[in-house]
Amino acid sequence: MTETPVIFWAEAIAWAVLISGLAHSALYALLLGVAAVSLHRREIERDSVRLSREQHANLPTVSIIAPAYNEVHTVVDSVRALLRQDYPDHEVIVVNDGSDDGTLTALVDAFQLRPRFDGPPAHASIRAIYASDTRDLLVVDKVNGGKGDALNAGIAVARGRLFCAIDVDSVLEPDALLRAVKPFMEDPRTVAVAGTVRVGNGCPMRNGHVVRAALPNRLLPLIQTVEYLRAFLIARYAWSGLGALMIVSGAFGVFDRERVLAAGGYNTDTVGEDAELIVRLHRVGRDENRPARIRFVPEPVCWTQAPTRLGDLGRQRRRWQRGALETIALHRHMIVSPRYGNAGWLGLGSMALIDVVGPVLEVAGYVAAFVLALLGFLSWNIFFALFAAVSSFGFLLSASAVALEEAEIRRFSDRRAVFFLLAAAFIENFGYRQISNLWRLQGCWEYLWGQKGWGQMSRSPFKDYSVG
Amino acid sequence: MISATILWTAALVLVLASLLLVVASVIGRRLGDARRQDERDGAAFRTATLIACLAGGPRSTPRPSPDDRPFWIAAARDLSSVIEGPDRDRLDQLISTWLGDRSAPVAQTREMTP
Repeated sequence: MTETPVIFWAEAIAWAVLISGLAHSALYALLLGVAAVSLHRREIERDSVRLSREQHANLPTVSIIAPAYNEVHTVVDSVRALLRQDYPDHEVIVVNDGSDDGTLTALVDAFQLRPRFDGPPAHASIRAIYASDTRDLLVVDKVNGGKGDALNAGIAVARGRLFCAIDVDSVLEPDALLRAVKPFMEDPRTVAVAGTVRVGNGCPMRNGHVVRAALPNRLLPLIQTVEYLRAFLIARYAWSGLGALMIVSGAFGVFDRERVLAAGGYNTDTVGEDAELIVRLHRVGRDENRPARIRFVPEPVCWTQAPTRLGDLGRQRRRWQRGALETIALHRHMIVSPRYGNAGWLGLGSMALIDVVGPVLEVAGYVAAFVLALLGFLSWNIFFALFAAVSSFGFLLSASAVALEEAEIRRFSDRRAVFFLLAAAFIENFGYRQISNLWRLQGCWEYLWGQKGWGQMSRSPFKDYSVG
Repeated sequence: MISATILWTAALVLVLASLLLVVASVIGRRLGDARRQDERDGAAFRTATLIACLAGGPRSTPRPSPDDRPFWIAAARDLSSVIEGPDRDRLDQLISTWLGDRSAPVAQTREMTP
């Protein structure tokens, strides 16, 4: 190979990566602009007592559905916290998805549950239902079938017009339901509402509730805190404003039960059941000429424990990637059909761009540029300048999310928090971002090879400082 | 040829813009916190004044200026949502008198409202 064609191809790859990077950046800049304007314009009632008084008369019943699989050490405390929601009419349904560690026994003993006999089971995989005489608590015992199947079983026995799907180890703020229900009352077209999921590692807890927002004291969850801020305060908020929100996190979302049932419930054959349901709700809604309104509201907050080990984080990210690809593959026709409006070409299209094309191009760009620099066809100066330009745009986005948090949400009372977040936003560009892209590529590979299943993950429970 | 200088300059500009954004948000939050504290103090003062009046306290009641009227109405609305019976009726009467009586000296209200 002569030198001239090699230089030509080197430049071609560099330009391809640069142009796709610019397109990616332009998309994120658009999202940032939309999110910043929406956050600034939103009208919120910060006082939850006053909010409760305003809404109290018309509040619909909400069923909180929490699938549990082998959660014996945390499930009782988690359920106690769920029962303490500041919401007048809610029931808690824990779905024991075939646990083999005594989760069911722990629940039955702690809440003095008794078997409920009410005819044939509402869902095929249900073995028994246990109810409390004193609280609005049901425990559904079923054979193991995965999270989607557990949620479907919960929906089948729920009595609420709305249901809230959460992870049993997540912690809802006391007014989270009250705030999440508001969009349903304001607009009857609302089918699902996503709240903010925040990293709770490091937050002090009392009686099952987070006392105050604090930052994790380890780097890995700290970087994830920035990631979550970026994902929720910029991406989800903006997509919601554009009518193209394609995911309501499995950790916390509120849904119109009738519309979810009409769409067929959760898909049990994917690990991305949360995103798949939302895309299907958009699709079915458009097919039936009653478009689904999927909203994101930043105030209802759910705290989750982020993985603290690289292995666990890698498994989680590969699973998310497989879930996204399964969803895109199932509904790919929506991208090109004008019938689905913004949810199709913009929502699902950008999901394909960000989740499929994005990591491939970024890794290809890094590798190609490195190899070319190594062979002497690209100057190291340009190589590092490219890396700096890409990283600094990533830093800008993260810093913008931190700025939005500081200016509009104001959760962290510790003034130093913003500087720790900024430091994490800077550090994530050196190693974390690259390894995240590799996990995503691995997720693509696993998807192509038809790998299924969630994989084992260990998460630390929240630290509770309750007296007694 | 991609110019390294352009890329380095872009990186520097983006980093500086990021830092500027965060600094602006920190300053904005501090200013906002101070303003919100003032609002909270004002709201607490109005609620306390209304409760004192209901309890038969000060004889000379404040006469809100046009600018202050919405704040007093909000305070009265908040208070009326947590009291009942004759107290609520008296509060309604009180606030209608204050807001309806245009002959009242506005200066007095300005002194009493923060």
